Amino acid sequence: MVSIKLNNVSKIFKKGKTEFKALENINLEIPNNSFFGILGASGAGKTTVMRIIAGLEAPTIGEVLFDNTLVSKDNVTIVDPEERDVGMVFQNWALYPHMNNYENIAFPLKVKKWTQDDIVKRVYDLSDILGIREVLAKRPGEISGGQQQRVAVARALAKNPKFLLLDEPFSNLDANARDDARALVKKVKNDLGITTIIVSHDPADVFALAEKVAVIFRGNLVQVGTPRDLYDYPANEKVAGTLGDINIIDFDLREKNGYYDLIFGNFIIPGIRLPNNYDNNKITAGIRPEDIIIEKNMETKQDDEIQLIGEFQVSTVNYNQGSFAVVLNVSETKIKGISREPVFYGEKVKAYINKSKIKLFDYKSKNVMKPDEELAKN
Amino acid sequence: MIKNRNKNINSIKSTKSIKNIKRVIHNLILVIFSILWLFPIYVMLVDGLKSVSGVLTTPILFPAKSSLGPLITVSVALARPIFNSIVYTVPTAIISTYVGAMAAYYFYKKSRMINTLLFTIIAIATFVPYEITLLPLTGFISSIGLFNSYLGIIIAMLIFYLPTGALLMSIFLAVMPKATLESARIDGANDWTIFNKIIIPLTMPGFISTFVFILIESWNNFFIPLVLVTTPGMNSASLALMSYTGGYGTLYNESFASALVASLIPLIIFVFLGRYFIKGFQAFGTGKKG
Ligand SMILES: Nc1ncnc2c1ncn2[C@@H]1O[C@H](COP(=O)(O)OP(=O)(O)OP(=O)(O)O)[C@@H](O)[C@H]1O
Ligand SMILES: [Mg+2]
Repeated sequence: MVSIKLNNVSKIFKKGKTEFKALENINLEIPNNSFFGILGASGAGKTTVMRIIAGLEAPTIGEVLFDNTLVSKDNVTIVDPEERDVGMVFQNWALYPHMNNYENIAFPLKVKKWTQDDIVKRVYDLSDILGIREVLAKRPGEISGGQQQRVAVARALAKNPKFLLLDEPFSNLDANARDDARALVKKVKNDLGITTIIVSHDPADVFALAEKVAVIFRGNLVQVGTPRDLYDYPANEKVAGTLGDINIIDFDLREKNGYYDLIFGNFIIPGIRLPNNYDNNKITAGIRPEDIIIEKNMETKQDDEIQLIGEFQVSTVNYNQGSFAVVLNVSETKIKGISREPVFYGEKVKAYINKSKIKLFDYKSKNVMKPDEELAKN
Repeated sequence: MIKNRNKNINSIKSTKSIKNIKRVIHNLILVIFSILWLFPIYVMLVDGLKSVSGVLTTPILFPAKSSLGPLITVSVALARPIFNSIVYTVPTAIISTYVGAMAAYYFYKKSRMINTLLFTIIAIATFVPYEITLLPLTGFISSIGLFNSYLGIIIAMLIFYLPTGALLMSIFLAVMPKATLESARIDGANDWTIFNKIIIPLTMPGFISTFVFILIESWNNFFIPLVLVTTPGMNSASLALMSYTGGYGTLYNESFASALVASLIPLIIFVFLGRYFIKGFQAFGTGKKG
């Protein structure tokens, strides 16, 4: 068990004369025993962070510390990966194809010169926890993706590592297997009480597992917080998008007694407060689909928060786990909302909006502005 | 619509007939090559089994009544040289492949620039003609007191075939998935363990191909024993073979019989390891490992 610290870590890849900055000034502290998530789009630099922590790569600039021991600094690997005692599940699992699954899990133990009896016991114990006892005699190529993933987790955990790194461990699984795998990883993490870092581009992984999340965007750390915080109070438009589906719309502003109407075609959100010094005539707002309620026959009760916006035409509909994802056509722009009753292409529907959940971003910087109730207090 | 469909059918038909033509040409080429390859074996068998009277009465390409006489004669004469050749080539091939693989792993780990540089030097070394090295090689082997000895010849062969082993194994190693090696490091394995437990098993088809290639090359190597061997008891099969082709002129049955006997060992090895050999070379094309 150990805490991990990255101080001012940058990573520059050189290819011939061109340089590519994969990470820029990352500062991160991952507390002992936590389940930490790193979220970012493809190519954001997540795997690079992981490889730097594991020791497969040294930071071009900056320091990496385990507890308070320096393990790499300024392009020098001080403690080699084989000495770092980490467990890692690679993006593609990287099992040894020529060994059977038992040998795969036992490999790190043989390397550590455990006795035969201890190895057998450890492999069987882990296989029971992970439900892969029956496939131990087979090779990785002969078992399903979900089983391979579990073998990879077992191999990573076998030697009782100081902490566990999971690099998109679920990306090669289908949706059902993914849910099972998440539950399993959570259980194993809790049972063994090991510091765990999961890297993913899928916010669902992070919501299901992580206590705290760092969002990386193009090699920069943009925000760290609990998944809930990031979802509701994203620091900027990019974080909002990384954490889940969101409509990002540029609205025109119209002032009315200190409040503003946000206007996008006939999609008009009334009565929004803005900071006094806001001096743009446009504003960017992020509205998650679940905060746009679509109805045809039902009547949603309106209150201060939930307000009717208007009637719009349905462009497409997708059924998705008990609700309908509806795309509205508003001034040639697609706006996504959610309906609990079936609606169909071309129909006219009513849209309500949950005003308290609207995220307002500065039109120029795209950084978040404080929620309006806080402004109201000032 | 209908016109279009006809067009489609026509184009399907024409691609089909193109395919057929391609297949015929393909097979024809295969047949021609097979004949070319089998021809020497045919000649060796037919003529190696001829008796002296058969040699005198039948044309070279036609079989005569077969006799094991010439085969037995040359087998007795070649027994010692074949034994010598085994002693020279098997250690050479094993060491060249294994140590060559180690060198290849070292290059693989080094930065790309160093890798390319060393690789180029080795590639050049592989293609240096033996003749250039005549004097320094003889001088070197005698200076370490191993002239006309088994060890001397093995060392001389290693000088030539180690680079070949490194070169070939580098190519096989290049298709190793990096993540597999990295996960071995994460699992705590050092280079030695990674090399023996991961690299060697995963490149086995390539390893065997390299082994077979070097074995056959060194078996057929005529030059090194020629300059380093002085007593007939140390002759290699390739040297002994030469004594059947010059002076005996017309008695070609013994020449062919000796060629047959001398190529038996590489042939057997190739037959048994051939499928790995092919697998290994397939890995070049597909990046897959057997
Ligand atoms: N060895 C390397 N050499 C050059 N560029 C690299 C190297 N490794 C990564 N990069 C670049 O650094 C950036 C970040 O890569 P990284 O693999 O960390 O992304 P990621 O967030 O893990 O993406 P994904 O979700 O696709 O796995 C990418 O643009 C990638 O092309
Ligand atoms: Mg990645």
